[in-house]
Amino acid sequence: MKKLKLLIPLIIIFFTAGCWNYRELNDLALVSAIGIDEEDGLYKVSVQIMDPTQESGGSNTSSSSEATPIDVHFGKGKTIVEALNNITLNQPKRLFLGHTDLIVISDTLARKGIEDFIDFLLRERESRKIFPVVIVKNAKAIDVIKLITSIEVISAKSISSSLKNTKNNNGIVSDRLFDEVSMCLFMEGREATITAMELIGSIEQGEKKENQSTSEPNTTFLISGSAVLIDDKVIGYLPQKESLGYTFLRGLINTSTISVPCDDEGNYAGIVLEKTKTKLTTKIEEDKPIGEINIDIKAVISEFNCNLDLNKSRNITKVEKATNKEIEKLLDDTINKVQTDFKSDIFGFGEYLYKNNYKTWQKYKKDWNKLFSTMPYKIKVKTIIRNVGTTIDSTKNSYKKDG
Amino acid sequence: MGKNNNIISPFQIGIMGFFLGNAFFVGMGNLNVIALVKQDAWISALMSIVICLIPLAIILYIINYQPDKNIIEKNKLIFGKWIGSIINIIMVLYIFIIFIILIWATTNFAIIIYLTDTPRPFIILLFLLVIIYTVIKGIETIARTNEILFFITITIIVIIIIGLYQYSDFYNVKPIMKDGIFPIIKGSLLYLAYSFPPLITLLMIPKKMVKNEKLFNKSLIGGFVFSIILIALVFYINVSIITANLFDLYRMPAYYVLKKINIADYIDNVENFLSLHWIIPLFVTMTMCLYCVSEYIKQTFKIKKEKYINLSIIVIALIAGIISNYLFKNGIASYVFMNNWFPYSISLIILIMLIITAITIYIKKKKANQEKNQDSDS
Repeated sequence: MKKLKLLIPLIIIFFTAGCWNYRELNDLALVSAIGIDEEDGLYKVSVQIMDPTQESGGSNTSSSSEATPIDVHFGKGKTIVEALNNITLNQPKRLFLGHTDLIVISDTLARKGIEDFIDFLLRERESRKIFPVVIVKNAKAIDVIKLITSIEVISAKSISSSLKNTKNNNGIVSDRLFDEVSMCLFMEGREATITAMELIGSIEQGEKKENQSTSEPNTTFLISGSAVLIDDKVIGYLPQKESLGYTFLRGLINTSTISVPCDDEGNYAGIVLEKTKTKLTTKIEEDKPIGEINIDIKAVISEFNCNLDLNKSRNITKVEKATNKEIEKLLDDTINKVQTDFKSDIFGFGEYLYKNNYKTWQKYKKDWNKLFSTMPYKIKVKTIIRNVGTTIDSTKNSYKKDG
Repeated sequence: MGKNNNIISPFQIGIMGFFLGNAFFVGMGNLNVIALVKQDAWISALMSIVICLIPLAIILYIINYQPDKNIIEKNKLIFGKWIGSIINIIMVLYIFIIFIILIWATTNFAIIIYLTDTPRPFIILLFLLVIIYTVIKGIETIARTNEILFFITITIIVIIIIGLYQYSDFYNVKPIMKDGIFPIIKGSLLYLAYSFPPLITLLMIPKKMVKNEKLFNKSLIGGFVFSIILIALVFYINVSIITANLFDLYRMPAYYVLKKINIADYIDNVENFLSLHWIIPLFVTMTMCLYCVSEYIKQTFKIKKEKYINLSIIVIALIAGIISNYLFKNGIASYVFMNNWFPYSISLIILIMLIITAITIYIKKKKANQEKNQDSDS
């Protein structure tokens, strides 16, 4: 019995070592980005494999400084798995998707539909599924994967950080993560959008190491707006301005800035929108849906070049009204463009009906996008300026006063 | 081996009720409930509190009868030696089946999440070694272990709630009751089918073994209701974050949601650690199942020597392990079994057995009272 008692802990120690799933880091190819293109009717999947030593900035040897911080490999197949498997034919390590920072889809493929490979990404065990998904408009996905960027040596990280910062400080895009995109695909009453990007400059130059070492890179990326989908197919793109309108309407803005005309002389005030609260509702009047958008904004004046005395509260109200007008115009242009150009309810007017008035939704859901394209809507924006920064009056105005 | 006094506290009984109540929801029952009632799963769970109290009340009624005896002895007393023995065999067989299913569920969970390349038999062995060791130590050790695990579970749940609160949006839970009340009631019944069967293992603990008998009922009801509320909360949080459609799609949706946790950019990538709280109810329930089967073997074959008792525990566990290795062809088969077979072939039969036992006890009690009254009259 004593021997058995000794044996049990020994067996437990032996089996809990977890060697079965253990893999040496040296044997893994850490994938930082995946690009998905279509070629000859097959998926062409490219992977960006990062060199962790270069990312940490550890190695300064001449050989490594000449080497690019990333390796790009690709494989083709009828399915994503087959294509990924074929990548091992020309590189020695096992692909590890647990550190994937970005998924890039080419425009050509996205227009045919993304549902098929979304299934792979949902099913796959290693990846964390909280990486951004982008569609590249004017290039192939592999071109983005090959891109060498400055500041951040791993371009996938550079793009995903840029998306995060855009979401937090700019608002043009809302950092559409994979799980949000897949959620939208299954959502009733709302079509999906995916962040769109472009490559600026020569594509060939972008994959060279020199692109990283110049002060003004030959090739760089630009977050250019949002791709609009119907079901799982991209049907068009919203430019930056309308994309900002979209994030407003979806209530996805953290912080953003807009320039508001504040006098008759063509001067502008820079308004930072600190807190926005969007309420989007759909009502049925005379058997027809009507959209209502109410947005409450708390803002700060960060730049003021107008001939207005900010010491007077009526002038603050004037700026508030001007901000309301500017945002209302932005939202109006956005909805108008989506209604006429895309006929795709990406804002979720239908979703509101589905969530709050299910019976009515059942009646309209069949032709919803068609109904949406002609749906009248009301926009109401209410801005409150909470702060005017560290100065009160504009420098322009006080200069004039002194004069 | 230290001497046990085999006394457990009402709090430990409550903890057992808590863990036993949600064991079948790890990667098995939850998917069926969600598939049936979608975003209203949390309402179904809350509604099931009332329904689930019925079998719990029956179990308590049986436990309260002859509090110094366990169910093996009670069955023989109630139904007589032969019928009692047959009922005992059926009951223990069901507990054994629950044990086998739970071994499969645990190993499947481990394979999907942690040990993707490890062969199933080794994972089974890994869990069984710990379970065997705990059961050998006796009911007091089981209860104390559960107490420690309970506090670990609560800590993990608090971290999860704090971490996921920011992502939760009530809008995703809408539309509420879009298909009316009937699917929700159906969901509650399904919930009942998954939550109460493991509770029959408590019948093996004589009430006299509990320190403060008066608190027994309250503690057990409290623990069980808490487990249902927790499952409702899990349903609510998950659906409010990833919507019912994605929840329905994933094999381990709650694990996937845990990946989102990032507290102040400091606590991040903690899903594997936090997912431990699903292993714990499975472990507790498996321990209780093995304890019941071993107690039955011990009492039926009147095994006295500790060496043979331990050997019987090891043999039972290994047999269960071997069977569980071949139980389901794949995850889909388990899903189909839990949806189409489990509620009728296991839960319903256990419920019928409990009802028959309770009715027989009631008749016996009534007869005894009548005899008592007649004696006092005469």
